[in-house]
Amino acid sequence: MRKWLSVGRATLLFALVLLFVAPPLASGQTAGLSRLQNDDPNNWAMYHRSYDAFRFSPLAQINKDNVKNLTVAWVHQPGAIVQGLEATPLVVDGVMYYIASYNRVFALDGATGKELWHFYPKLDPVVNTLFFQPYNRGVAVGHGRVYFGGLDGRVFALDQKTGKVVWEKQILETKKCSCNFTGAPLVVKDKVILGQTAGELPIQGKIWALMAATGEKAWEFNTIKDDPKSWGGNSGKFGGGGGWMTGSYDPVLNLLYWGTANPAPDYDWGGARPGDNLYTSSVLALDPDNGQLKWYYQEIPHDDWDYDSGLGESLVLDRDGKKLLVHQNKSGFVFVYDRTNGKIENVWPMNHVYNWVKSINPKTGELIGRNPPREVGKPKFICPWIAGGRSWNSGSYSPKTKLWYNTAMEACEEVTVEKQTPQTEPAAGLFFGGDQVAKHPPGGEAYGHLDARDPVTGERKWSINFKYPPIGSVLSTGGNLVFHGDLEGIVHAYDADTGEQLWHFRTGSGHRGGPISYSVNGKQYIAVPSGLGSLVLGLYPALWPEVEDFPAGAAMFVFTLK
Amino acid sequence: MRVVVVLVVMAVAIVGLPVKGVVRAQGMRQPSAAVSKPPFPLDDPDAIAEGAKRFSASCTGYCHGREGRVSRAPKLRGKTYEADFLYARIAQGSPGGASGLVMPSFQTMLPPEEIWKLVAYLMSLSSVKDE
Repeated sequence: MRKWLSVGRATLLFALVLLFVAPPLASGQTAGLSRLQNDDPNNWAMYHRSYDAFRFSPLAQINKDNVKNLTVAWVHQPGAIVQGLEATPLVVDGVMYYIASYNRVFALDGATGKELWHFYPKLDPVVNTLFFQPYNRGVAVGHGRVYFGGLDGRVFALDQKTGKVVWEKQILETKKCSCNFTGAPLVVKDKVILGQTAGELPIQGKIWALMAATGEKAWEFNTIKDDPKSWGGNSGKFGGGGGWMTGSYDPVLNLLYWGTANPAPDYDWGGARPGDNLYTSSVLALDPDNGQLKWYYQEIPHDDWDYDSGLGESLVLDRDGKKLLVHQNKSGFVFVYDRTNGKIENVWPMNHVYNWVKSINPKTGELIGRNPPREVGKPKFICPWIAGGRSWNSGSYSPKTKLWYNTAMEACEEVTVEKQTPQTEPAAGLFFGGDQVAKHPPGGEAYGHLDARDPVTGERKWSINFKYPPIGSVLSTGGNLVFHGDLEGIVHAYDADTGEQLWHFRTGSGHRGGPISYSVNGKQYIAVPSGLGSLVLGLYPALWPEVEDFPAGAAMFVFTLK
Repeated sequence: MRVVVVLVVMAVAIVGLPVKGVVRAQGMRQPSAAVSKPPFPLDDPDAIAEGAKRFSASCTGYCHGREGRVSRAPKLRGKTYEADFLYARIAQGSPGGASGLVMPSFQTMLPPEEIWKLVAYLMSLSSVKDE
C-alpha cells in the first residue's frame, strides 16, 4: 500500500512538473505544425525546408539582378573537420541550428553568426569502431526542442533556447549492431521520426518514431519483412535495410513517405538472400501516428547493386489534379508515383550511362534486362558505380519554374563478388559480399552534371557538366536562383531559367552539405556548408588521383547582399 | 613494453594524430592498442589468403580500394610498412586528422590472430605496383 502510495505520489509530482516545465504539446503541436508546414518564408525549419521536400525558399530579395553583389556576412567553424560538413542547417526565427561531425550541435545568431549555445555530447567509444561516422546530416526543430540522432545510437532532445539536454534515449544497441543514426529526424505532429543505418550490416534495420515530449518509443517499423518467400532460409536475419535518410510527409493524406536502404549483403553470389527481399530498396507510405504500412513500392526487387532507396528525397508534388510522389534511388532512375496508392505513374532515367538494366518499364516499373554481378571472384563492369547515379545529396524543386534541379554522377565500377559469412559477434561486421573499383564509362571520362528537369517527365531544360561528379545538395529560391557547391569548393549561383552562372565564390573545401536561404530582420541570407568529406570520396581517386589530396574542411559560410 | 610504446608513438608520428581539441571534442576514449606477436610467420600463404578475404570484406569499398589500390584513405599497395605499425593502426584505428579521414578501430571486432592475418596480407602488397 505504501509502495502504491509512493508510486502514485511520484506520478502526480511528475505530472505536475511536466505541466509546468514541459512545453504544452497540445498548443505547441499546433504552432509547431503550422510552422513546419511552411507558412513562414523567413525560416528553413526542417531538413528539406518543407514536408514536401522541395528545398525551395520563397525568398526573393536576392535575385538575378543583384546576386552579383553577394558577399560574406559571417563564417562559423565547428572545429571538427573529419568527414567534412555534411549537414543542412536549419533557421527558425532568426536562429541557425546545425550539427557537425562528432554530433557537435550549434545555435547561432542568424544575422551575425554569434554563438548562442553549443552542445558537444560525450559519445560512447563504440563510435570509434563504426563504419558510419563521425558525420551527421541534420537536426530537427519542433516543440521548443532540437532533436538529433546520435552516432552511438542515442536520440537527443535539446532545449531550443539553452542547448541543455531535455531527454536522451538509447534507441539502438550500437555496441552489438554497429548501427547508428546519421540522418536528420523529421518532426510530425507529436512524434520525432528517424531511421537507422543497416544496409551494409548483418542486422535488421528499422524506422523509429519517438514521442517528441518524452523520447518514449511510439512505434518502430522493421524494414525486413518477416516472410520466408521474401527472404529464403535465415537470410532475413541479416537482411540490412533501414532508412538512414529523411522522409517527407503529406499532411492532407496523413502519410509519411520513407525510403529504405539496400539489403545485406550488398552483393549476392547467388543464394545469399533468396527472394525479393522486402522491404529493402523500397518506398514506404506509413501512417505517422502508428507506423502502419499503407502502401509500399519496391523499386529494386532483390537489389544486386546496392542501389539503395534509403536516399533520395520524396517530392510531394501535385500536377494536373494528380497527387504525385517523385523519388530517386542510386540506380540513376527517377520513380514517379500516385502517392495515394503507390501506383507507378512514370519512371525516367536521370543518368546517361547505365548497364545494370537495359531499361525500366515506365508504366509498370518492371526492371528489364537485369545485369547483376554474381560470379564469385570475377570482376564485372557495372554502371552506375556504388556511389550511385546520385548520392544522398538532394535536388531542389522550384514551384516557380516547375523544374527540379538535380545532380548526377556518370561513373562506373568493376564489382567482384565474394562469398562472405555474416559476422554478428562480438558485434556486427560489414557485410558487403564483395568489393569494387571505380572505372570510367566506356569511351569517355566519368563526369557529373547539374540538370534542370521536369520532375514528372524527365524533360531536360538545361544542364551543366562538372569534371568531378558533385555530391552537394541544391537550393532554389523565389529570386529564380539555383545555388550549388561543387567538389572543388566553389559555390555557384545560376539563373534558374537558363543555367547561366551569375555568381560564384571559392570556399576552400568541397561541398557535401545542403545550402539554404532564410531571412532575419528583413534581410535575406544564403547559408552554404562547406567542407569535403564523405565515404563515397574514397571511390574518386581511382578515377582522379588528385582527389586524394583535396583538402578536408568544415565551415558554415553565410552570404548576403552588400 | 617500452618497445610497444615507442612503436605506437612512431606510428602516430608517421601518420599523424588529430589536433588535441578534436579528440577532446569527440568525448571518446581512444582504445589502447596492445601489440601482440604474430602467431604465424607473416609470409605464410594461408594467413595471407585469409587476410586478403578479410581485407576485401572490411577494408575496401569506400575506404582503401580493392587490393589496396589508390583511394582517399592511404594507398596500401606498393608501400612498405612495419608489421607492428600496421597491427597498431588496425587495432586502434585513426580518429582522423588533417586529412579529414577517420579509420575505425578493429580491436574489439577482431581477435589478434585475425588482425595479424590482415597485417600479413598488407605486407604481401608491398612489392605490388599500383596501376
